[in-house]
Formats: sequence, structure tokens, C-alpha cells
Amino acid sequence: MAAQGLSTACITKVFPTRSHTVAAQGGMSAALGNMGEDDWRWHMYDTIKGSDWLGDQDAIEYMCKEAIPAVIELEHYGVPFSRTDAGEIYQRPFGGMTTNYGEGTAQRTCAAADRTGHAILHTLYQQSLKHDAKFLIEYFAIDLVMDKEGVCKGVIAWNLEDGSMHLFRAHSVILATGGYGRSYFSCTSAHTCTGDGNGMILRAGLPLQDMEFTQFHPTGIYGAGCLITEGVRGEGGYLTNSNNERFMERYAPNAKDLASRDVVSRSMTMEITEGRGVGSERDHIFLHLEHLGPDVINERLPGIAESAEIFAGVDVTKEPIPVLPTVHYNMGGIPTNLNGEVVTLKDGNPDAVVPGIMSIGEAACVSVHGANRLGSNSLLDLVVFGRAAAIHCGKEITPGKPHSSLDNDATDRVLSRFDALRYADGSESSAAIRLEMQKTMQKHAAVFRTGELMSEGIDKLEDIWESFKHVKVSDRSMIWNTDLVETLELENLLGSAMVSIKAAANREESRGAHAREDFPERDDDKWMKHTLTWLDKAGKVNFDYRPVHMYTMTDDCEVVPPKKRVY
Amino acid sequence: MKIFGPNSKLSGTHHWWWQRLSAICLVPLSLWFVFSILSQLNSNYADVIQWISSAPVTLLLILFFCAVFYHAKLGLEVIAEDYVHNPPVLTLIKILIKSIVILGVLVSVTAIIKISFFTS
Amino acid sequence: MAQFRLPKNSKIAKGKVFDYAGNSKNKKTFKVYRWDPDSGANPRTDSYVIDLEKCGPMVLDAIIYIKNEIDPSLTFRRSCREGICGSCAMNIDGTNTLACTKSIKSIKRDVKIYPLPHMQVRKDLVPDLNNFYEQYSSVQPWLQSNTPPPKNKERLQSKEDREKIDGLYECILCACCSTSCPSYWWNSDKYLGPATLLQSYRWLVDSRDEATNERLDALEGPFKLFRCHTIMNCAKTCPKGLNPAKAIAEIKKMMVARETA
Repeated sequence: MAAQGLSTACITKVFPTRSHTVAAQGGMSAALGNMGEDDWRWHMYDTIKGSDWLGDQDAIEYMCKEAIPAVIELEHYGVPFSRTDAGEIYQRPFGGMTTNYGEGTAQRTCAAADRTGHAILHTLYQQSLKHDAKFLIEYFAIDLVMDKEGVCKGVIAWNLEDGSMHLFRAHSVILATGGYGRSYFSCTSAHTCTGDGNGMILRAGLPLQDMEFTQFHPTGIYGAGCLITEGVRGEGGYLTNSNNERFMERYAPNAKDLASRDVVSRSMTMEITEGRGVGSERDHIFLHLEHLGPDVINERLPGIAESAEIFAGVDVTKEPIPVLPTVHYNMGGIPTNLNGEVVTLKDGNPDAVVPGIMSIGEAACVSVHGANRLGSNSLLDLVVFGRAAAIHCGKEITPGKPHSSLDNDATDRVLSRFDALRYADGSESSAAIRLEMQKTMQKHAAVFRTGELMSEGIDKLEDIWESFKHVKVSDRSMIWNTDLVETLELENLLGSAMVSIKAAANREESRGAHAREDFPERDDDKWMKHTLTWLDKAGKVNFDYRPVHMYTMTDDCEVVPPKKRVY
Repeated sequence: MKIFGPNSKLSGTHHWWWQRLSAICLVPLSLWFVFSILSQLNSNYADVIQWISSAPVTLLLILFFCAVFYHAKLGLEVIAEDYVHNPPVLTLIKILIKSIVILGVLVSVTAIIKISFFTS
Repeated sequence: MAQFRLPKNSKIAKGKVFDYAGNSKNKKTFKVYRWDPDSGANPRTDSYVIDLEKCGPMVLDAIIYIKNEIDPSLTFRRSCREGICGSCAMNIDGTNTLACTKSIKSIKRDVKIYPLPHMQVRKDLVPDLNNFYEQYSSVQPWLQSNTPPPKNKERLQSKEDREKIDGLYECILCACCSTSCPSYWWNSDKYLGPATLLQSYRWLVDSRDEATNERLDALEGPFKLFRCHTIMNCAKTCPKGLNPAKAIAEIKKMMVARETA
């Protein structure tokens, strides 16, 4: 965006290379065909099937088609991808990625060993240094500045280093704030994944979409929750239960351990609930890669070997890693169109653009992942739609365009909320409230869900919502006041958690990552639609719906009609 | 072999490389020097004068002292650059180092030549 | 002169003691550096005695526990908690490392926690890293090449060439190495430090990069590169097991080879 001559500032609460993208391990999918025949249409089919037909097919078409130039562009930027013998980008198999519309296994996931996110994020930061983009590092964004017409005029952010408050005026604010994994007790997400953009959108009176869909990654390290990439299974790793059985062969006879993440997570949970878990509590599963041999592990999975050693005390060349399905990704988020512009349902128009705000990455819901994201499609999502957003801004915004005036009401609302929390002197620490929320979400909105369990959870969460009114902030400073930062983050998390669990209770079917024991089947007649959720100050959630785009963007491919999802 | 380009006088590479070269030269020279001094411990004045006067010893001694002082100069400059942060003071100290080193070379080489050629 | 003593307002005072371990058999004392920029008082070390049964196995778990349960004003950076983001670099038990991958059990004595050494402190365990980041960008850490890349196709790179950047590109910019280097302590304004030089070397050996000469030119002079005195603290402390000292030595060799060729 800076390269197009637009004045661009990146406001970030952590140094750019510390954002959670850095932790992505396995790779980024694109049908380059370096390892055998491949076609972006097959990738598109897989993504639609993976999404359990909740993904918008035009957006998926765009993403899968653009994946190829996007990866090439990243390579040209200098990303240190692993290589094949021919010197091309190495690609590995990943869950749910097939050839020929579900027939074979595709090697489609471009990898830089098991540190692909790190490699991409660092390279992109380097590119922005090259183009001299402005970074405002360790600024915490408090809220969007919205005018009376509902147009976004900028954002207010707090500089942690010197304690100053800043109003940034912008023709376009792009939220790339990631997910809200930290609303759960055990997640692979970083401490900073607190759904800040989601919180801002909800407070601006705008809806979030498909918030009931939370992906559990099959292989988080038991206890620590740290991620073990699906690439381990892509390279030939497999799961076993206490009978030493490769149980995935039973649940997904074709794809086995490389079935889609929701399927593997559910299968693991079934094994554990049926008493075939491993360990003294029989509450987890083993992931084996010792048969791969030290050479393959050192070349392609060195980071995993290191993490397993540190967090599970396991030598992966000799022993299996204890793993458990762990909250990993939020398919839902801020509804956007193909350009990354935020949309809402307004006067019957499900694609009404909200002027001045855009969103990309995990924070956004385009929606390309629908009810379940395929591994290695998230790096792809953020690169492709990040690029689309930049292109769109380049077209829409003329450099040097003056800003319209702004009345004080818009900023006062934001600052008074900040001040209230800064001086909050209640009875409960934000850490205590956060823990209650995390435990509630973990218990009541987990892999398997029932109406009863969730309504209990909603009751609890409403109490927790109330208790936030009595939050206590101990540090009153403006400089590096992380107590206050965590409290602001908690408010964002609470909003996300509230709409998430209520949307889950509302959706009476099973689809993708949302598995209800009381409604075990997918119900396309009633529920093939995106949930929109608005949240009011009392914690009440209003619902409405947007249709799923069952059409393609161009005539290059055909719509994939819904069918039963088997792997 | 071109040792260094015409403009490389001030370069860090030049400095660093010659510090290594002088160190490498000093390894055999120092060993030779120490063993020679030890072997002369029981000699009388005349024997030592005679020993110094032999052409190879004179040459080696001159080489040794030049290398020692040159290496010392390079090393002392590095230390000064490490710890002295005031630029004028640093320049002054560097001039001082250079002066002492030149003085040292002059004194030692003159002494060796004097012993070797003018003492009997 | 380089400053060898702490300035008066940086002298560390004895702090408060918080004993939250009760009768636990598994106690541990954490002595944590605290400095509040608002109070103007000298820094202090507060002691927190905690029950290890109640917190996770890593030092980061312990300081999060302290922040959550004992003192919410304790300030430190953290994010991924799995050793890949580089946020929680601090000096623990005398060594610069990541709090999230340093296990409490590995420390036999009381656990002493300080910010990264010889940096300006913003608050508690948060050092100012602006200079460090500026040095990083000063080596132009991006791919530079005059040959246009092939259209619609990646540049080719052999497995062997790709292997050359292993052990280099994995750097997480945590600053543990640079802030462990005495040479960097004395001359952080002029010497680039191990982390930045490691990244410089990462591009020098990338077969796709064509700016080798310009990159080497930019490192010339007595300070940017040659302040490295092979002390090796960088390699010893790197929480990712990388070896910046070796990379620096390789750059020096490249410099000499270029001059003597």
C-alpha cells in the first residue's frame, strides 16, 4: 500500500514480527503443481468441501486462483521457502487437500521447513521497511472513530511507550487484528490474540459473522497447548490411541490422518470419551513421527522437534508427542467482501459496504473458510486478501485527499470508555474475570456441543459479563500499563465470547467445526446461511443472516453443489 | 597479490586483517625470541653481543620488535575505540599510541643496530 | 569513556517481599527487577515466593502467575509463549533468554529476573528496543537483485544454496544476543551487534541476492562489523541455538577475501 504512494501507517500493539502469524508452521497452500499435477479448481473444491459448504464460492475461487501469483510474489520478495531437487518451492501434503476433486492426496502446501509463518511475516516486514512504510509500534488501538452516519473516520490509539493518546484520521482503517483464541482456556493462540478488532466492530454497532465456528487443532501439545503443525501428519506422522491403533483409519478410510481438522479433532475426542485415550488420565492421544527418521525431521520439522523437547520433554526421534485438540482458529469474524471492505446487512441489502473500514486475516470473515478452515489456507487468506485490500485502496483513495471535519462526540465516547476503565476500582481483577470466561468457554463451547450445555454456559457468561462492571485496575499509569491493556483486551474477548457462544446455541445443526450432539446432521434447508450477530451494551445478542454465495466469480469454474462430507 | 586497494587505509578490514597477520608472524618470532633469551641466560656479555651481531639474529630481532610494536598499536587502538567515546579524546589517544609506538620502534631498532654493528 | 558504573538513579534498591506460597513444599522465590517511570524512584528487586504447584513449568508462567494473582502492575512483554515471537526476552538467572522456553526447574537457586542488560528501561522488564530495530533496518534486510525474477514462476534455488541460509533466517529478533555482547554494551550506537549482523549475513549468502558488494561496503569501517571481538556470548545465549558469532566471522572472511583478491 505504501508502495502505491498512499500514506500508510501500521498501528500495532506488538513489534510487527511478533504478531501471531509468526507462529504459523506448516505452510501456505497454492496449486503450483511443483510436486505433481495440480489445479486451482481442485484446491477450490477442497476448500468448499472443507468449509462444509458455508464458504462463499466466489471468494474461494478468487483466493485459490490468486494463490499461485501470491506465492510467486512472496518468493520474489525473498521468502526462504524449502526447495525441491529441481530448485522449485517444496510443497507438502496437508489435511483435506486432494487432487481431482477428492480422489488423491495433493502436495499443495508451500513450506519453509516448519516455520513458514515466521519466514513470510519477516519477509513482509522487510518489504515494508524497503518501501519505508510507517510503523507505530506498541500502540494499542482503543476504538474506531465513527461519525453519526456510521462512516469510519479513523482510530484512537494509545502509545504505550510515552503514554500519549493519538487520533489517527484515515480514509480507510484496515483491521487485521487476528482471532480471539484467548477467550478459551487452552488454545494455540498467543496471549495477544484477544479479538481487538472484533471488539471494536461490536462497539461500533456493527455485526460479526459466523462466530459459532471455532476450529480445534487436532495436535496441540498436551498441557502446554503449543501447536504441532499438521505438516507432521503431512510428512507421514500419525495418531494412535491406547490400543496402539491408528484410529483415523476407521473414521476417515481415505484421507486417514490427513482428514480435515474438524474431523480429526472430533475423532480424537470420541476416542478419549470412549476410554481409549493415553496417559495416566487417559485424556490425550499420541502423535508419532519417530518412524520418519532424524534426517526428515531435521530437514523439514526442526522447529517441532525443538517445541516437543521443550514443552513435552519428548525426543521425537524416539517417542510420540502427547497431543490434544486445542482451540486454534476462528473462522468467524468481521464480514467483508472480496476487496476486504466491511459489509453489513442494511435495509435488506446483505452486502452493504460500511464506508471507511476494511478487514483482513483471521479477524475477517470473507468468508473463505466457512464452517471449517483447511490447514495452510490461513496464510493464503491473509496474503491474498491483504493484497486485494491494498489494490482496492490504491484504486479508491487519491493520495493527499483531505479529511472531512469530525465532531467531538465521536472521540469523547472512546476516551470516556478508556478513562472509566483506567480508573476502574471494583472488586475483581481482570485476570480473575478472564479466567472465569476462559473456563466457561472451554467447558461449554468445546468440540462437542449440546443445547443444554451451551445454555448453562450462556448463563455463566452473562454473570461474568456483569462482573466486568466491577473490574479493578490496579495500575493507573499511562506508560506501559499492561494491567489496563489486559483489561481492554478482556472487554474485547468478552464481546467475542458472548456472540460466539450465543451464535453456537442459535445454530441448530452440525456443520464443520460446529458439532452438536443434539443436532448431529447438517441442515442445508434451514442453515445454509451466515449468522450475523450484533451485541448491545447489556450483552444481549441480535441475530440476522446473510446468504451463502452459491455462485462463482467467473466462468472459469463451476459451483460445487452441497453433498455429504466424507474423507 | 594485491594486499589492499588504494583507499583501504582507513578500513576496518585492513586493520582487522593486519592485526591477524602480525599476530601470526609473532607466533614463531616470539617462540624464537623466548627460547633464544633462555639459551643466552648463562652467556657472558661478550657472547650475547656476538650472538646479536650475527646477521640472521639482527634481522630477526628487528622483525620481532617491529611486529610487536605494530601489533600493540593495532590492539591498543581497538581498546581505545572500545572504551573512549569522546572523539577528540580518542584522536588524541590514537596520536599518543602512534607516537609511543614509533618511539619504541626507533629506540629498539637503533639499539639493535648499534649493538650489532658498532659494539665489539 | 564507556560508563562502567550504574548511574546514581539506576542503583537497585531492596524491594518488597510477597510470600504467597503458604506451607507449600514446592516453593520458589522469584526476585524481579521493578522500575516505575512515574514514581521517579530508583529501581528495586521485589521478591515473590510462590507455590510452583499453582503455575506452569516455565518462567513466563511464573511471572504471569505473579501478575495475575499478586501484583497486576508487573510489566513485561509476552505473546506467543512458544519461543517464536521473541517478545519475552529477559535476563533470567544471569543469562539472556526467552522466559517462555526457560523452565523453572532448570534453575537451582532463587530465580533472578532482570530486563535485557545495558538497555534503557521503559518500565520493569520492558527495555527500549528502538535502536536495535533501527540497526536491523539499516542493513537493508530485504532481497536486492537487478536481475528481474522470472515471470509467473519462482526463482530457482538449489537445495544446497537454500541450506546456506539455515541457521540464519530463523532469527526471531529477540535481542538476547546483542544485549549479551560487551562490545555492544560499550558501543551500541556504532556497532551493529550480532543480531543485525546475522541478518546481514543471511542476505549475503542468499543465492538470490545480488547486492553482496554493496552490503559489504556498508559494513566497512572500524565500528559496524569489526567491533566484534569474538567474545561468543551471542552464540552461547541465543535461545534458538543460532550462532551469530560464526556468521560475523564469515562476513569478516568475505571482507578480507574481497580486499585481497
